Amino acid sequence: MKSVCFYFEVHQPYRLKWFWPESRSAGFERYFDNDVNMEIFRRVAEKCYLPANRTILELIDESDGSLKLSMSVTGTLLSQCERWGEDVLETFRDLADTGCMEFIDETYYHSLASLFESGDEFIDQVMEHRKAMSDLLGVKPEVFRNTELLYNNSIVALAEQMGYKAILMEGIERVLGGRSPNHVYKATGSNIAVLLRNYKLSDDIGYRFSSRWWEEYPLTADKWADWVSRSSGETANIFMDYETFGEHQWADSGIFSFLKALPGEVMDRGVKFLTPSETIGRYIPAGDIDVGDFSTISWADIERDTSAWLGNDMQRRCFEEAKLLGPYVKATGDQELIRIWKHLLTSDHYYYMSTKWLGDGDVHSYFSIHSSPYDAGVNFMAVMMDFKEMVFRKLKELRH
Amino acid sequence: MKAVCVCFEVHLPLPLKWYWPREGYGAPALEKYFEMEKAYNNFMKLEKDVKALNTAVMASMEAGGRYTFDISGVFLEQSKWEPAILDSFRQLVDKGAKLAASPYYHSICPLFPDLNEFREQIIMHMDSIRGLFGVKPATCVNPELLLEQRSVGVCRDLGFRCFISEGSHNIMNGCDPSYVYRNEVPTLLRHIDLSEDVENRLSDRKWPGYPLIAEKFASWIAGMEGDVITLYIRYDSLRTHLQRNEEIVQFLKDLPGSLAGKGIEMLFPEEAAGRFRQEELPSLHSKKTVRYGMHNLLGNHAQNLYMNELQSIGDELGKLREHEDHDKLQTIYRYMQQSDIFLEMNAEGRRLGYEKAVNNFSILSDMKRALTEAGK
Repeated sequence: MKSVCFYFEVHQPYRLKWFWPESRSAGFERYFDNDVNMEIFRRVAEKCYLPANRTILELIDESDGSLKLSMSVTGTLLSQCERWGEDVLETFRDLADTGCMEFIDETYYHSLASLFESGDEFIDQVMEHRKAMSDLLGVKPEVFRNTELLYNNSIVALAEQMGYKAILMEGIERVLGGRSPNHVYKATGSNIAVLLRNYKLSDDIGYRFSSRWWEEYPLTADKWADWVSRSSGETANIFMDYETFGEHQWADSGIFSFLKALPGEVMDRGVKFLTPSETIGRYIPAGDIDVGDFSTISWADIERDTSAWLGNDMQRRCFEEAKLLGPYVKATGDQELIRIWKHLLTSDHYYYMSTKWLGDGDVHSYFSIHSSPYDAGVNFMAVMMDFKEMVFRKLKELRH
Repeated sequence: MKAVCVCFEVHLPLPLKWYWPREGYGAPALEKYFEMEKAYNNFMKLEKDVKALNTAVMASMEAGGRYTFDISGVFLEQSKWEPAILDSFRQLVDKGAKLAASPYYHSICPLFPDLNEFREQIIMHMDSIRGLFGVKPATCVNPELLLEQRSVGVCRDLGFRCFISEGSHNIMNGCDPSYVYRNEVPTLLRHIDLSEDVENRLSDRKWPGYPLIAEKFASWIAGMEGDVITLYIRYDSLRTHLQRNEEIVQFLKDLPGSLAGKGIEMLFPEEAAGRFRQEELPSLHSKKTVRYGMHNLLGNHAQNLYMNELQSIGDELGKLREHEDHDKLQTIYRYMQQSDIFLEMNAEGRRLGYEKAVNNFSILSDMKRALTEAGK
C-alpha cells in the first residue's frame, strides 16, 4: 500500500419534537426540539468534536504537515456550532488553517434530496453547503461526498456538473465485481474520480475497535498499520463517522491513544497520508464505476443500499409526503417554511424509522429521541401533517 | 333471572385505503381514501350466510323469541349494492324484530366535546330506518358499546327509552350486570361472558362448554341472580359458527323454548327498561367504557392524534356550510369517524397498527389540505 486516505463524516441532525398539534410555539421551534438538540450537541462536542479536533491538530503539528486527512461537516452541524458551540467551530477553523485537513462538500442538510427525480433541490442544498464552507471555514471544497455515501450515476452526473473532481463511494463487491477498492477509479461516462471505501479496514476502527467478541481485540495502531501496509493496491480509503472518536467508541476504550499512535505507525511502514485531492492526483484510474439509478448504493447497514431510509412502508410514505410538498413550500416564498422543509429532508428522520433488526437496529436508534421506529414514524407524520397545513394556509393568504 | 334481551350488531366497516399521495393534491373523494372495492366484495360475500341466519332467527321468533338488531348506517349504505340482504332483514322487522339506533357512521362522535355531530348522526340513522323499515327505534347503542355519559343525555332528549352499553369490569367491579340501571335513559349493560359464549365459543370443540345447546345455556342463566341479562352479539361472528356446522341454527330455534321452560322471558330492551326496578350503579356516572376497554379505542398517541385531527377537520368543515362540495366532504369526514379505524390503530405489539396510523395521518392530512384550499 502506498498511501491511506482518511475521511470523517461530521454530522448531527435537528431532531424533531415529540409533537402535538396544539403546540403554541411557532416557526422552526414548533417542530424541532431545541433543548434535546443542544444537549446532544454539547455532549458530543465534549466527548468527541473538541478532544478529537485538538488531538488531530496536535498530530498535524507533530508531523510537520505530513499527516493529511479529510472531513465533511454538514450544514446542520455547522449551524449548531454557530448557535451552541463557537468553541467547536473555532477548532474546525484551526483544522482548515493547517492546510492538512481537506474539507469536502455534501448537501447542507445531510438530506435525501439526491433521491428526488429532479436534481434542483439537491443542487440548491450543495450550493448552500459550499457557501457555508466558504463563510465559516474559508475553504472551497473540490471533492464531493453524498449523504451516507448514497451513490448512483445520476448523482455523479450532478456532482460533475457542479465542478467536483472526485466523489466518495462505498467499496462494495457488487459494484467492484472482483476488483480491489484500493485504487482510484473513474465514474462511467464522466471524468470524475471515485474513491471507494475499504470497508473492512474502516470498520476495524469504526465498528469493531472495542468489540470483545472480535478475535483481533484489542486493536492496536501497530497491528492495524501492519494490515494496511501489507494490503495490495495504491490507496486504502478509510471512511468513518467522526463520532467514532469518543462517542461510538468511548474514550476509556483507548480510541484516542489509538488515534495518537496511528500516524507514526503508518508512516513508519512507508505508507503516506494523502487527502482525497492528492490521492486522485497521484494515481491513474484503474477502471470505471457504473451504478444505475435503480441500484443506488450507500454505506448503511448490511444491505448498503437505500433501505436504511426507504426500506419500510412508513419511511416511503413519509418521504413521499415530503417530496410532494416541495413545490408548494417553495411557492410560499416563506424562508422559514422553506428552511423547515429542508430540515425535514434530513436523512436521520427516516433512518430512525427503520425496522430492520439483525445487527443494524441498534445503530438506527443511536442519537434518536424515539424509543421505537414506530414512534418515529408516527411523530414524523404528525409533524408533516401540521406543517403541510401551515404551507397551504400560507398559500391561501397569498392568493388574497 | 327473569328475562333476557338479545341484540345483534350488524355492521361491516368501510376501511381506509393504503393511500399514496403520489398523484398529487386533488379533490377528496370516497374512493380516493376508502377501500370501496374491498368493502363491496366483503358485502357481497354475506348474502348466503345472512339469509340462512335470518331464517334461523325467523324460526326462533315464531317459537317466541324476541330480537333487536342494531344495523349500522354504514351497513345500510352498503345494502344498496344488494337489496336482497335488506329485504331479508325487513321480513324480520315485519314479523316484530326491533331495530336500535346508533350514530349513523358507526362513529366515535359520542366522544366529541360538541355533541351536535352525535345528535345529527342519531337522527340520520332514525330517519334512514323510518324510510327503509317504517319503524322508530326506542333503544340507542353506541358503536363498540361506548359509554360516554354526556351522550346518554342527548339520547334522553331524543326520547329513547333504553340505552345499552358495555358491562365491563371497571363499571361492574366483578358483579354480573343483571339489572336495569338508573340513568338519564334506563341502561342495560352487556353480559360479556355469556355474550361471548354465543359470539365466539359456541362452535369451538376445544371449549369445555361445547356443545352449547340452548337447554344448557338457559340453565346457566336460570341459575343467576337478578332481573335481566343483556346479550349483545356481533351478527358477523355467527357466520363463523354457521360455516362450521348447523349448531347455531338449532341453538337459535331452541332458545325461546328452553328459556321459557326455566320461566325466563325474552324481552326487547325497551320492554325490560320499562318493566324492572332501576338499580343504582354510581360508576355509570363517573367512568367511561367501551368494548374491550378504552385503551383499545383511544389508548395510544396515534389514536389520540387521529381524534384531535378529526375534530379539527370537523371545525374546518363547519366553516364551509355554504360550499358547493360541503355535503360530499361531510360524508367523507363522517366515514373517517368509524370506530373500526381507531381499533385498527391499536398497535399493542403489532407493527400494522403503527403503519396504519402513519397511513391514516396521510389521508387526514390530504383532507385538511383540501378543506384549507376550499375555504375563503
